[in-house]
Amino acid sequence: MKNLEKFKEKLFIARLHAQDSNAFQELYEYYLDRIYRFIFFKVNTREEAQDLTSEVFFKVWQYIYHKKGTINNLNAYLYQTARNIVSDFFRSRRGMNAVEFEKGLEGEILDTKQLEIFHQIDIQRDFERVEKVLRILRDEYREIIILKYIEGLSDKEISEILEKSKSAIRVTAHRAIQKIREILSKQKL
Amino acid sequence: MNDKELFSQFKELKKITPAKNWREESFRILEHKIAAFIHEEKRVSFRPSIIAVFREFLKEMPLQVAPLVILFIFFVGGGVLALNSAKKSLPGNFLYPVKLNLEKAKMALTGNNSQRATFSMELAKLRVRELDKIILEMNGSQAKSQKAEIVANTIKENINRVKQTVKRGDISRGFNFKIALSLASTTTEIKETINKSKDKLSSEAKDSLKEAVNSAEETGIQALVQSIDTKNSTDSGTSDSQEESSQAVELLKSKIENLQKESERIFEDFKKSSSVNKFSEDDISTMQEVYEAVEKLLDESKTAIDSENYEKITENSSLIMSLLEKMEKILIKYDATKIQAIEEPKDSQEFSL
Repeated sequence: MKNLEKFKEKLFIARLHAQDSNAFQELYEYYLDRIYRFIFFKVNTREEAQDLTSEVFFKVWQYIYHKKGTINNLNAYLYQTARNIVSDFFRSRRGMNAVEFEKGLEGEILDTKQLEIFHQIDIQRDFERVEKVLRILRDEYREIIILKYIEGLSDKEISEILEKSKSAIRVTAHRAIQKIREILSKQKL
Repeated sequence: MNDKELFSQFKELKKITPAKNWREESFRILEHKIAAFIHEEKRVSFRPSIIAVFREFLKEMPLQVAPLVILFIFFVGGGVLALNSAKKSLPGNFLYPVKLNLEKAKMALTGNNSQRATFSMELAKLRVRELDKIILEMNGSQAKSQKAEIVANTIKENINRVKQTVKRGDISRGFNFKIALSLASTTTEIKETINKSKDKLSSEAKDSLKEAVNSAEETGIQALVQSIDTKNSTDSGTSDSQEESSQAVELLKSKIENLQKESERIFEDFKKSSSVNKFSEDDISTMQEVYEAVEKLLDESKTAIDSENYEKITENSSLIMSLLEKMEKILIKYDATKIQAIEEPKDSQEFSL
């Protein structure tokens, strides 16, 4: 994140800590898509992704406005909360796999609006393929791919979220890409 | 698929977003969840911040009703620490309903008509400030436009509440004068908001605000009339009340002057507009008749002030305002924005008075 963005984040955090009620709505609008996407690839259905996304923001609200907790790194806090909520979700549903391949393929992205974006058949085919691969990756690889290549976060930011060193992030990212290539070359879709 | 294509596909996945209908509903649902959470939370804390919050709400409350206010606030507001945030919230925010409930509670516990009228004025001013904030943040958002409409309508309602109180005629002269001054400053603020907003406000919001302005002007005149210390009034003629009375008379004169200028402005604009717009014969004759009627009423009002027949002014002012509105409507019909582009009238129609 550039210096200006960092400064803006600090200012924003100060507003949250000062219990500015507009700040929470701004936080929601800014992070909604990111957190939704992060959860979307981990769960089975769109509805689960939506419910868990709401839960993330409720927890964040509780922590800041109700418990008056302090946050030093907003980005990291939100993603960590999302990870914890998804973990809790699967723990509470013992016996189910984190991603069941067929359910994950239930045309989640194939609604009319998103089809408009992918008007070329080739693009659409590739898109489906990559999304399917993400769903069958191990979680450790999937998270790196989402944060680094989809959301465009830096290694430093990812290390703060996943609480790993930057070098570990780089190594894991490399391995994730290798794995994806391997799966793509084997899959026939 | 090569690496370049793979990374390109990753970027495409960024287009995955929540469903539009869920996105629109989700924040509202979250607000309800939070409001329910606050309501269920029963927190009793003796931290200094809570005492400070209560002091602020209770400072204008009579001591005997303070315990009722405390209980009412816990009942409707839930978590005490949310109160401070609620006070700063804007429409659409999850704490805004809490803020409104607290205001209603304060209104319900306000003792007499004078204080209720004063409180209604404070609320109207507060809503104007909220509207200014919403307008600043507006960027074509439909939701924010609707919020602006709601607030504009609330401003109109608050002013109407004051109007009803003033109309009942059971508030003291001193309070009438204060209300008149307060209405004058609120009218100015609302007019500034309308001017600053340019095209950001919807026509519904602008209509509500214009109605609020008209209502405030009319009520202001009535309040001024009721504040004047006449020989027939039951209030004793103290030097303060006489001072206020002479100020009220001066203010009345200035209001009549302003109404005169307004009618002249509308008529001038109509004449200019006629050079580019073909007005119907009916509209021309209506405009002429209405303008004459307004001039006559204004002259009568000036005479009434000189002869201390102040009741006549109240009667006339409400007629004048509705006639001015009629003149504006005729003018707006013919796209008054073209007037600004006019430098020289081309084939202006002749008007005879």
